[in-house]
Amino acid sequence: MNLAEIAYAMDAESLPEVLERLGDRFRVRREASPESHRVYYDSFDWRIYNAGGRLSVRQMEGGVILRWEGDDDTLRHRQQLTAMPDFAWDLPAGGALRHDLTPVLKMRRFLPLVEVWRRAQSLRILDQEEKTVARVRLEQSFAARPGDGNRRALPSALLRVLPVKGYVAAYHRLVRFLEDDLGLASARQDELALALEAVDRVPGDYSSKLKMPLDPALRADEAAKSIFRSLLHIIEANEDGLRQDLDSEFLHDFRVAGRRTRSALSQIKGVLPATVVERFAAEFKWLGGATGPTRDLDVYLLKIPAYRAELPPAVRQDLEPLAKFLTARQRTAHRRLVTVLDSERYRELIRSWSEFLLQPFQAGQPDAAPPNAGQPILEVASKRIWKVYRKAIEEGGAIGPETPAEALHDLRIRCKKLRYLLEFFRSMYDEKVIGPLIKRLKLLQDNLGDFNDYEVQQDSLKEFAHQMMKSRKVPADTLMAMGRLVEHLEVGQAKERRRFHECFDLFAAKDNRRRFCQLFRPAGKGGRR
Amino acid sequence: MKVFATYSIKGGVGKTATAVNLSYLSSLEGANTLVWDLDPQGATSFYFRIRPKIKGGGKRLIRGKTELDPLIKGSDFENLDLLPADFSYRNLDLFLDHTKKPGTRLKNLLRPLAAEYDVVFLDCAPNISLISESVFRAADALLVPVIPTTLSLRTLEQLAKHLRKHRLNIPVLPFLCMVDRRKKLHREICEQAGDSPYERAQAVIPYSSLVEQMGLRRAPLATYAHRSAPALAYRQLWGEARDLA
Repeated sequence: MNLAEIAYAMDAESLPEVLERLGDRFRVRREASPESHRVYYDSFDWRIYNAGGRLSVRQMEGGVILRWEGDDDTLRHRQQLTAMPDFAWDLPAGGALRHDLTPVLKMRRFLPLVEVWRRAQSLRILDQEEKTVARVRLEQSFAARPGDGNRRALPSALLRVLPVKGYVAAYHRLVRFLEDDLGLASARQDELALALEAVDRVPGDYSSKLKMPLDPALRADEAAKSIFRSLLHIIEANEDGLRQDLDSEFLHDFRVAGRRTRSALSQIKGVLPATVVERFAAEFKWLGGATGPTRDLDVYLLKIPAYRAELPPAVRQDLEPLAKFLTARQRTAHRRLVTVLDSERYRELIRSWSEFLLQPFQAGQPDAAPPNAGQPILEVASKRIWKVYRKAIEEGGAIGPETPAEALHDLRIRCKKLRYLLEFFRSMYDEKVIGPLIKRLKLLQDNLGDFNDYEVQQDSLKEFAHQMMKSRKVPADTLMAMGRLVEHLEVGQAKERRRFHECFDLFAAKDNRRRFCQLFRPAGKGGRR
Repeated sequence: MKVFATYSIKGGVGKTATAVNLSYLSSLEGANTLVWDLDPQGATSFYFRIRPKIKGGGKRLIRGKTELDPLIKGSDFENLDLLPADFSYRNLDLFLDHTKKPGTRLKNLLRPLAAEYDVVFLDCAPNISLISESVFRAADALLVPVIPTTLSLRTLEQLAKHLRKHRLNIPVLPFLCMVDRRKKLHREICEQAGDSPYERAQAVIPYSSLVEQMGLRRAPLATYAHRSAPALAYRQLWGEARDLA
């Protein structure tokens, strides 16, 4: 059972008086504390922060100490390491920190968020043996962006009570004095939040999710543009991390934003000028194609640990030549990707798309305007969603146990279009209805996606095997291991195929159909609320 | 969690100073360190300025009726805690005798602490008994201070025999302690390896009034004389001991 540290916020100017009064009331000894320095880390998309955590790292002799605290100041984990890890999988195997952090961080890299320096004066509260029974620390902290020399002071100074384990009575006496006699009020100190504030950063300032609320009455073309602007922002935000290949998800988020852009261009019909749509649909298609190969290799590299785990322990190392092969290929593909980002074509795409999206709405050109541009976005969106939904129901309903795979791939693509539409316009509809609806669609998409992915993996492994044979001697054992994996994938694919009907039935079920009708069905066909 | 036991059959050979100084060095490295003062004389607790008293006494503790954690006190130093001695520890053997599986009792009591502590020092009372047996089973390594006399070296033989008999295979690191290089006998013993059942540590702790002062200053040596010869010797000793467990 541990006594809690308490923090009290106060003005820096009051510090000397507080020190004096503590000295009067208790037996104390003052000492200077060395300035401490820590760096807070998180993934690019704030995964640890969003999970309520704060990860800080201090340099120690011979290594580092990682602390994972909750946003309520509780210490969840403390671990000593020889070096700062790059990824969760660099943490010691079997450790509690790795076990708890991996599901949060997954494949994202630890990136430094902000540096904090704490300057402190310490006071020891002593008993008759001159034993320290409690400690008080008065702190002034400063923060800076990583690598930036410019330190800014945090808003308030802090008085921290640091209990000494086992000295319960002394702790309570001290706390009573601070609160009752000095009138200090304890405050939850989220040092990270304060530090970020001091360096003008807002927690959660990047997310790959589209969170913009849309006004249902807004003109469709303005609404569409605001969606495109959010997507463009995501694309640009990921460029740096993508160039440096910090982790696989920069490229993933970059590509997903590009895909969503293409989908919106083709699905939100008659809202932007046809020439614009045609031009940018083609350019984003080019971009998707140019970034595809690197993403594919990232995905397979991420799959390698799972592939290893599927094989019997004795033959796991047979997969190493494949891992080496993929790593080398990924490096080459990534270099090519960087040249794409540096290319004139890419820079021109971003520049001109950005320019188009920032153009203010020009009223008074009714003839030139596309048919749906001036309609309220709610109308345009609902109409389109309903249409795509009906097609999905029709296509899915026609699939029987013997239907060839082609039909499932078509349905998968249809469902993807539907999903993107639902995500773009989610904010305009009752969350209690659209939430469960999207969940059912996701179930179906997962099934169709896995089914497709199993097939793609089989093809890829075969392709890799052929390429490896061409470029250098590949051990027979490696090919055998890859063959085993292909067989597992075949089994997995068949299993998913059998599951299709239960997933589709859930999607097409009466209660779900009612949800679609309620939200999207056009008036005149039973009405829409 | 690594468990070290400072152990000696004889008293007055520098066991307590060793436990205090090595545990302090461990804490400086950032490892969460606990010292359990098992000696009813409570010298280690005295050095840490902590009263040798535990709630419920040793009897309840050994019987498993009290958990260890609420009894632990923080020392004046970061990452260093103490489970204090209690006068009732003079009867620890008696208490152990009445429990099931006395041999593994300490080990079981320590187990829940593994989540919080990286290193534990068991500072034993000088004797061979049920309690020391429980210590041997709980420890990952024994640190045995030896003063450079023939009698002292004989006790190493006794220890080796005892461990062999009970099939206890823990690493043992004897080290020369309280060495006075002015004495011919001390010098000779230092130089020769002798017929020791165990390899001695390279580190040799010199006799020093600075170490004796620990009783006055009531603090680890390194806090007031960290560049002195004995302090350097303890650092060297810790370097050798640390990797044993």
